[in-house]
Amino acid sequence: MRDTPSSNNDSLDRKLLQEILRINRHLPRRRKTLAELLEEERPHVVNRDGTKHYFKREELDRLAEILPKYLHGRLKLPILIELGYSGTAIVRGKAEVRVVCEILGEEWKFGQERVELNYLDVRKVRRELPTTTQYMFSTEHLKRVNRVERGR
Amino acid sequence: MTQQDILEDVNPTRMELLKLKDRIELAKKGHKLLKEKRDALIMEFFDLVKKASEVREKAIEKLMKAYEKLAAAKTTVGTTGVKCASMASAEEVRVDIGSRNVMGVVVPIIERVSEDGGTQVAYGFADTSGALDEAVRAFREALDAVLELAEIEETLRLMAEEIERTKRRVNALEHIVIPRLENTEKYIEMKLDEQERENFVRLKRVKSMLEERRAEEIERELREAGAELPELEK
Repeated sequence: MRDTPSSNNDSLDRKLLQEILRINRHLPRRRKTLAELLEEERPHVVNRDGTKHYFKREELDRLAEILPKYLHGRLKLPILIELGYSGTAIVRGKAEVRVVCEILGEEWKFGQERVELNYLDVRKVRRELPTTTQYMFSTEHLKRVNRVERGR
Repeated sequence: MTQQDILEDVNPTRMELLKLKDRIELAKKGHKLLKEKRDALIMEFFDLVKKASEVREKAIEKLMKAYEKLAAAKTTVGTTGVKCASMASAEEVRVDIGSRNVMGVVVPIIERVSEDGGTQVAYGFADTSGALDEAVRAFREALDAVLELAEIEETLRLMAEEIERTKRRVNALEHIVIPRLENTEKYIEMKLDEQERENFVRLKRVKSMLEERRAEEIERELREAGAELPELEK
C-alpha cells in the first residue's frame, strides 16, 4: 500500500509519542550499590536499552571517601537526577542526598531523603560526577495517559 | 482549518474524542519533557565545550614540551640514537574503551591501561641520556591528555547530533503534532455538535408529528362518538 502524506503524518505522530514513552530507556535495568561496584574489575551497569554504562574508578573511589563504609551498601549508582519539575531537579535516597550535599558543600540532615537542586547545582554535580550520575525524566504524570496509548 | 490539518480516517465519535484528548495531554507533557531534555543536553554540551578547550590547551602544551625534550634528546644522543632507542621499545599503548549513557547518547570513556605504571624503560642506559628518559616521560603524559581530548571531542560530536535530533522532535511536536491533534479534536467536537443539533431537530419534528397524529386520533374518536366539533384551520 502506498503511503499518503497524511498516513506519513499519522506515523510521525505515533513515532513521536512512542519516543516520549521511551524517554527513560537510558536508565539502568538494575542499579548497583557502591560496595558491589568497588569489587568489580570493570564497574558497570546494563541499561534498559541494552547498552552498558561504565563508571570511572576514580569517581567510585571519591564516593567511597565521601561516604562512611556502612553506607557503601546503600548508595545505589548511578545517582538519578530527576528532571521534569520546571526548573528544579530532585535527588532521592539518604545516601544519594548525602553525596550530593557533600559535593555541593551544603549541610545535610540525618535521615533527609530528598534534595531539590537548581540547574547550577545540577551542573556542578554533573561536572564532578559525570559517570556516577544520570538524568531521569519524571514521567509520573504520563502514567494515566499511557493507558490509552498502550491499548492502541 | 483545512483537511490537511487534521488526522486522516478519524471517526467523529465520543470514544475517539476521549482518546484524542489523552493523546493531546501526552503530547503536551512529552513536549515539556523533550524540552527539558534538550535544555539539559545543551547545558552538558556547553560544559563540555569549556572543558574541551581547557584539555586541548593542556594537550598542546604537553606535546610542545615533549617535542622540546625530544629535540634536547636528539642533541645529546643524536637522531640515530633516538631512533635506535625507539626501535628497542616494544611498548604498546593499551586503551580501555568503555561507554556511558547521557540521556540516551552513548558516549565513550577512554582510559589508558598501564600495567607497569609507565616507568618501564626498554632501551639500555649505555648509549642514551637522561634527556631521552625525560622525553619518553613527557610523551607518556602528553598521550594521556590526547586520549582525554579524543574522548571529549567524540562526546561533543555525539551530543551535538542528539541536540539537533531532540530540537527537531520538539519543533515537530510544537508546530505539527500538537496543532494537528488539537485541530482534529475541534473537528470531532464540531461534528458531534452538528450531530446533536441534527438529532434535536429530528426529535422535535418527530414529536410534532406524533402530537399531530394523536390529535387527529382524538378528533376521529370524538366524531365517531357523535360529537360535533368545529372545523379548525390547519
